[in-house]
Amino acid sequence: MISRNPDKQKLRKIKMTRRAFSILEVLVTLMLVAMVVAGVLKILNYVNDQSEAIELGMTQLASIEYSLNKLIADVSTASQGGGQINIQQGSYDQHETSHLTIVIPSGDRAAEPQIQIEWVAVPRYEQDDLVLFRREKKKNQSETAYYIPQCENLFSFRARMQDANSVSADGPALEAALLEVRAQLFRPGSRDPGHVTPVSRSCCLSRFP
Amino acid sequence: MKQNKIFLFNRDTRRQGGFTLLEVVASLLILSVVFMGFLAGFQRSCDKAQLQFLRERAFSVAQRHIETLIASHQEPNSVGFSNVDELDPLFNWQLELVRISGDSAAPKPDLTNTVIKATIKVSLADADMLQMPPLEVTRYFAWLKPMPGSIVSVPLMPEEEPLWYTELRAKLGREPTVEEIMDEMLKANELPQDLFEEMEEQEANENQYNELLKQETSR
Repeated sequence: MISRNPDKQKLRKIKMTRRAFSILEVLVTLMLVAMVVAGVLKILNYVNDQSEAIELGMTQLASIEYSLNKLIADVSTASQGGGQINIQQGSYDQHETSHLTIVIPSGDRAAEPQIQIEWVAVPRYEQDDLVLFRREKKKNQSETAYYIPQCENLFSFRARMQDANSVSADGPALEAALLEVRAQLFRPGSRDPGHVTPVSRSCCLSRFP
Repeated sequence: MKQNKIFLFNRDTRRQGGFTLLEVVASLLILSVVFMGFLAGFQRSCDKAQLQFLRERAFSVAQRHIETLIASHQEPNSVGFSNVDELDPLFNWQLELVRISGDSAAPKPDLTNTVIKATIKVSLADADMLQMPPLEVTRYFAWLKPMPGSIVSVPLMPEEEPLWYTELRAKLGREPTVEEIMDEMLKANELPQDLFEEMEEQEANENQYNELLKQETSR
């Protein structure tokens, strides 16, 4: 049935002559767009993973370095005041660890009591790594002194004191005592002991009076 | 009003055109260039972070060897001058000991006005891994125990004269004058640029002064 309205006739004619995409064109385009989007997302995901791994690695490294610097600062304080450093070696499964006890004697004033600082690395419950703890206890302190975690994700933590006149690991005989602290840090997301990051600090005690 | 609507619809559908192949290819190329730039930037920032990470480890190695030297106060034998680090085998370390004058005066025969400059250079054992310039940590020692059989540790080394100076002396058959040394340094490009400019300026001033003097005397 032909419409008598001339406008409607014109509109129908236009609709019939309009060029549209075929289903094949649409499907191919959709597939291409999906592939490109998937590729871009994959790359962005990789970039994000890499950034996170780098950030985590840097944070963990900064954490252990900060802890070791703090340990050396404790040793420095103890050495200046004629303190004592006692080291006990131990191990948990394949993890080597040390327990450092630093005693800083009381100062001239009575207000400065003797301080005992402990550094120890122990494994976490059901985790295959060590956590480094520090505890500071004053002699006349009545409340409990707690071990405060400093850094985690360690494979090993070893402190060694080489006394004066002993032969150092690198050869020459030592004139002054040398404290060596060595830690091995797991790489982020890995528990492979073959791929660890070594961090160390050495401190010659002759530099303190 | 109806006419108007139909006209608009008509215009939109009739004149609708897709992108040409050239446009699509060009836009894809631009997009890929932008994306490659972004990826290259990310890769560079990753490398920088990795480099910083390695430099911190290298510093740890250098600090450990300096501390051992402080504790031993002993000039090492030939074995103790360079090696792969035992704790962090990723790095090679190298010790350089040089005796230098502590002040501007010439070293005394008993070397009391000299100090020993100890420099630990730490570099990556595998140079292909990343381009990391060697990290250097320096410490000065007033004294170190000499090696067994030696009287003095780190003897004062005479400064090696440059090759051009030896050649010039051989050519002249005598010790060259200051002017001859300057000329030769200019030829060998060993004169610092600022000194060269200063000399040129001085020469120009001298010429100007001579000209004025000549004019004054002629009057």
